[in-house]
Amino acid sequence: MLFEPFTSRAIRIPRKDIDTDIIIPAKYLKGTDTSGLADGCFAELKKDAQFPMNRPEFKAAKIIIAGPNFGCGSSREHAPWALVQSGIRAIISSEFADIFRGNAEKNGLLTLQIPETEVQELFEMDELAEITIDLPEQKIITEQKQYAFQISQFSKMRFIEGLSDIDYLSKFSEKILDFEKQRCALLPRI
Amino acid sequence: MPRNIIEKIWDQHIVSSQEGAPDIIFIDFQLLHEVTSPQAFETLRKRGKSVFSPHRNMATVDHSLPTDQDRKNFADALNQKQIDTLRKNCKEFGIRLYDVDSGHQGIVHVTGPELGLTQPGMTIVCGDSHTSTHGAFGALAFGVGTTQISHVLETSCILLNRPKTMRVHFVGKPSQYFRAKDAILALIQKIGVQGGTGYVLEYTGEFIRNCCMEERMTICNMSIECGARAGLIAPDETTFAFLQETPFGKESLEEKKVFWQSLLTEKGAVYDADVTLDIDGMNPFVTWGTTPAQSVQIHENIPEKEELPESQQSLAEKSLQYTRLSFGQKISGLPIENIFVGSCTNARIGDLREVAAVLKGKKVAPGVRMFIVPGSEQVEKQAIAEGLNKIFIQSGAEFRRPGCSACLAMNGDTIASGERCASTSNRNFVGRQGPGAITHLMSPFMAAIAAIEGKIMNPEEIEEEISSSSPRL
Repeated sequence: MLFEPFTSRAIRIPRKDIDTDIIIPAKYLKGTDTSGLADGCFAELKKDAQFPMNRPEFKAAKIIIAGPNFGCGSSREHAPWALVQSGIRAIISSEFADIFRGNAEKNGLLTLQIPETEVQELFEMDELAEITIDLPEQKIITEQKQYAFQISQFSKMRFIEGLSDIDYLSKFSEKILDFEKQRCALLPRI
Repeated sequence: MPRNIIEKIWDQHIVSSQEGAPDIIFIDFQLLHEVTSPQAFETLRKRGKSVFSPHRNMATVDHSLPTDQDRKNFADALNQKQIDTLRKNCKEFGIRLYDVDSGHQGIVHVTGPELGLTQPGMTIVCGDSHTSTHGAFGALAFGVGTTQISHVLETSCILLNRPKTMRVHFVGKPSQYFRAKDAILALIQKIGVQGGTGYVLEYTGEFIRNCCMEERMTICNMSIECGARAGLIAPDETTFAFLQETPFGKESLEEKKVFWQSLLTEKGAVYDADVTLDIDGMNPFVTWGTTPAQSVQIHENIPEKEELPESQQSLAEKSLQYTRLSFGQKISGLPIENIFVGSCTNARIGDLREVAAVLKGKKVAPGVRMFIVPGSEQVEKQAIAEGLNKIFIQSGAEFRRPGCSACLAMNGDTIASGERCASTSNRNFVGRQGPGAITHLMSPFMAAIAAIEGKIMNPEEIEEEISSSSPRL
């Protein structure tokens, strides 16, 4: 599988601490599968007609630019599910909450961390300007400038080669069995 | 090299550590509930796999369950379907479910510890960010997403990068009304909602040592609110005495104690970060905004805009717009319509005792709705045995059945738009307790004071006598 660079307009949410309740409120967490979450994505913000996700110009947007500490709060994987179902493939911020970031990665959603000053530059661009994300080259490309981002080799492989954690873990099944034997005595059994 | 307790627990759980890849970490125990687990079981089913070790998973129902007396009036059919799905999954995969009326149904982070399933040195996960609660026992416990739940079900392992460690050291002696909840709100205010991102915290200091297990759970519970995936407290005699009274905790306690004591941070061990928090003379905290870091002590005013760092000003403005307050406004005296005592942060028996001590012989102020939701059926049973339920009802409060309730308001227990709620829960996010609902986080003691006064009040400014028995057991 090849991870082709992709280009789109970007939805800007210039606000810090965008929590998982903002990304998807709890009342949308009642399903027993992963489908049908796009409606709940940013449900409160969408009440504002001017919110980019409501505007036709951003219908095809695949990128969100947000303030620091994006995804703080709960561990609900519904947050990345809802974003992906809304067509989002990458989020750019200067800081991400741990659990959200891990969940995003397992769902093919890129979390691109760059310094806050660079995020501010992106916020200041023309709102209809297009941005390209080039994962193999680790670059965010605008008409004016290129921004480098860091990503671990392992994470990059997850995206580029579609490596899943469970496939990786499965290779260690014998080692896990051995490990369990020596821990068992210490643990409660229910 | 001397190691701290976090590093020791981590090292003891490494199945494989390879350059350029996250560690494979063995997970000793997993807690499951109805909201984040259905898709994980479905993954297992699709892969044709069974659960690696069913006896090291437990489930209960909490988020979607109604808290009215007969617990059958579901907010909608989806809530009920989630619970039925969990029942079906537990049966199919052989997992112990503490269902309604089992005697232990409850908020997953209340039920696990009260059974003694949370023990020092363990790694514990749950599809819930407040899994950090279990750190109170010296366990490394953290929230995971649904994909990782499926990994733990199938392999008892997850892939995770080694966390950085931070010591949070409390010094000083706070005022008489300052509680464990205030200690963690003080930390979050100091380091911010992102201050702990990437770290596991170890809480130390005399204040922590003097906390009972319930208070320690309150502190560890909110570690995630400063971005830390986990926070823990080294086990001591308080921990062992608590476990001795629990069905699973008392098994081989003496032998295990020797091992548990070997986990303590060694002399000379260092942390990636050190924070000292001076709580000397501090008063109770109350939040005024829409993040748990936006708080003040009860005698203080909401900060003026220019008193805040520039990076926080714009969010503070938005937050105040939502909470219908202003910069510089006094927090004590603010009228309140709802009081919610509940959640995995503060719905244990000690919390209920403290609320009852304040309410005894008094009335909830006219026009105020107070509802008390015990953390588990065991807490509920104990409260009834002690007659706390009668005190609540006589004062005009509702005593509901166990569950997560209005903490995240997905079971139908909501706060009306535009109304304020003094809440003992953990998040004051926009819309968390219902669209437009305004949440003020505080301790159960402060919530009880707000109930009888009809407003958020500084206990120092109240003329009538108040009982402030500390919740220590």
